[in-house]
Amino acid sequence: MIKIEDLSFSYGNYEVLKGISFKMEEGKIYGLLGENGVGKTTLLTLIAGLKAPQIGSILVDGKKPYDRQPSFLENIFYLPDVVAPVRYKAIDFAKDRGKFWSKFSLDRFNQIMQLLENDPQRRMDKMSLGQLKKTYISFALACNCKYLIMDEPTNGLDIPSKAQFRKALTKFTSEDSTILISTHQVRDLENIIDPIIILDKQDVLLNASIQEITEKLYFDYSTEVVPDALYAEMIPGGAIQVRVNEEGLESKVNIEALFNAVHLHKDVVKNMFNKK
Amino acid sequence: MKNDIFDFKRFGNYFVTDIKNAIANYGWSMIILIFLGLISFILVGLVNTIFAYNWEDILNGGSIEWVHANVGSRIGSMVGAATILIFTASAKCYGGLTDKNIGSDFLLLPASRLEKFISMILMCCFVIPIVFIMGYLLIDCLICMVCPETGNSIISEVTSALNLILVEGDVPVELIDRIKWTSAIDDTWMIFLFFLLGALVFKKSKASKTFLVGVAITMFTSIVLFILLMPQIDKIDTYYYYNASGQTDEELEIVALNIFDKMMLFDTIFDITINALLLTGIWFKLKTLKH
Amino acid sequence: MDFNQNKPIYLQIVDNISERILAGELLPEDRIQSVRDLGSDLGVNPNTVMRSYEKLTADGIIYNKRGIGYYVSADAKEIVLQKMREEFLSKELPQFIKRAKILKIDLAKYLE
Repeated sequence: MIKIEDLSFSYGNYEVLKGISFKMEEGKIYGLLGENGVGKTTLLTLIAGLKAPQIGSILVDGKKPYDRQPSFLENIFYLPDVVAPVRYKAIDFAKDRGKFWSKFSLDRFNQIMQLLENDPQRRMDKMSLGQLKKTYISFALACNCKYLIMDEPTNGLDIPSKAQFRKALTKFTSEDSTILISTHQVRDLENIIDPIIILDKQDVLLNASIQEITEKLYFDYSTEVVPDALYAEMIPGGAIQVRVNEEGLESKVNIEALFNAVHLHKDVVKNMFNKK
Repeated sequence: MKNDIFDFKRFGNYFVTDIKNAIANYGWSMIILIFLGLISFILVGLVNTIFAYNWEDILNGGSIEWVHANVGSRIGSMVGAATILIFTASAKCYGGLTDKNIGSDFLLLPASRLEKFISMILMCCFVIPIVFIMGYLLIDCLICMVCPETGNSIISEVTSALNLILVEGDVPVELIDRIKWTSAIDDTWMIFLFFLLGALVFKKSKASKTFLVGVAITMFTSIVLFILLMPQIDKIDTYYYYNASGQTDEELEIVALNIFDKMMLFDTIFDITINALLLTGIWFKLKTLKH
Repeated sequence: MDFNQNKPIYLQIVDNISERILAGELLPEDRIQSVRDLGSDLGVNPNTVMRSYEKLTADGIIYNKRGIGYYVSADAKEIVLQKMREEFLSKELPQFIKRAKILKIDLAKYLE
């Protein structure tokens, strides 16, 4: 379990995260959403142990990430947005690095590379950005860590690759893994992320599962105007309107509309989902 | 449950990865530096030959004999190559740590800080210098075997010189006993560690900035040490050559050896302290590196 | 499978499996894909598939052999038929009649 309490972090005078608190439970695929610059990457690097919290604490299975103890590092893999090309063939890189994560499997790596249509014999510094990203994604999934953190994994992937990524993500992660994916390409990961965390400047606006969201909010796709809609938008084929779900009806969550609704009515939504 | 501080197998894996990393980052440079002996041998020979004969002989292609570089020049080249090695090896191998991507990969690789630290020090203080020295001397021996006119190989030259000074020469026995022979190693380590620390501290132009800082520190330390210690060294000269206070030869010798001993001790303490400081600095940098 | 806009994904999966049972693609005692496998094929979070399977199990359309997997129930086809009839009569038919009224179409002409 990842527990974040009262976390604050600033770059110099610029305060990026302030008093952030939330928990992440095991076995789920969390989506971390937020506008650009709101601190998603900062938060991820803090959880990974690349930075130290200035105020507050982060505990991953009771350990502080910044200590970077091997017993912590072995259970986590951080995949950054921009990955470094190295002078190795993909397969050699995987073999060499894989030794450090006890659950790594070279077979899995090859399987995933194949699924992503990527050649393991190619040298990584001779790959395109997309191929390089796919190599790291394959490695990350092949490590089968308890915690997998991905920052914008679909960035740099072409459209077919995004679908392959979704497949690989669901196929090669187990119920024991907790995955945290930060993205602003919501549509790439629409049906995969559950629960959803929405981060705003210095605040967590939402941390709820899809089921909880549909219980509290109703997504109306008809063209009849909804009074008191939290958010309304014309989309191809009709409209999408978000309102409070008083009747307990079921609907399909539209994540982009959710995002906008939450941003337009921050306090209302926060109160709705505030759990004790 | 593996030990979080040091695990032998994990360390082994990490050390191998570190070596592969060094080869990838510095492999070609190392090979060039090792072959610098050969390159300079040819270049110096060329220059020697050109300067040995006058223009008519050269242009007419008369009987010109190639004038080989002598041992002295080969030793000089080795020193030059070694200098380049010390200045650039640490920065190239570990400079990536200050880069966001490479540094993040390094920090998050599951190995303990101690293991990463020991591997880094082993690489800089042992593996890299030993590989260089062995490779360079090997090439040098091969050159000497192929072209015997160039003189002794560096190894035999150095050993015979040491032999001359120490065994057959007139260096007093008392002095030989007291000389700190490991000084060369300590000092070499000091410079390697200094440049390693510099590689971890500076983000850009690592070698140059470290060098400049080194120059500044050296100048400063030299002045301080000069003021503090020169009077003592003067005493040795004074006692030996001017014999101002009219003491006997034996008394003079005791005084001189006493000063000599203290200098050696000072040198030892100095080396150990500086090296310890550098190691602490490097350890601290590893602990607090952030991305 | 294309996910359309309006129905929750987990219900769309329930519909899809129901249709396949109705069409005879899935026969009684056939084993259906595991939660993870179906999730992977569809690019959907396994939790969502789990919800679908829970609903199908609650309705008696599938059952779970612990440790082995999910299987189509013996009377799945009848149950599916029944459920779809109910859905048709309560939702699609009223909508259809309402639409015909709006378009001023006399349905009696088209029946039989």
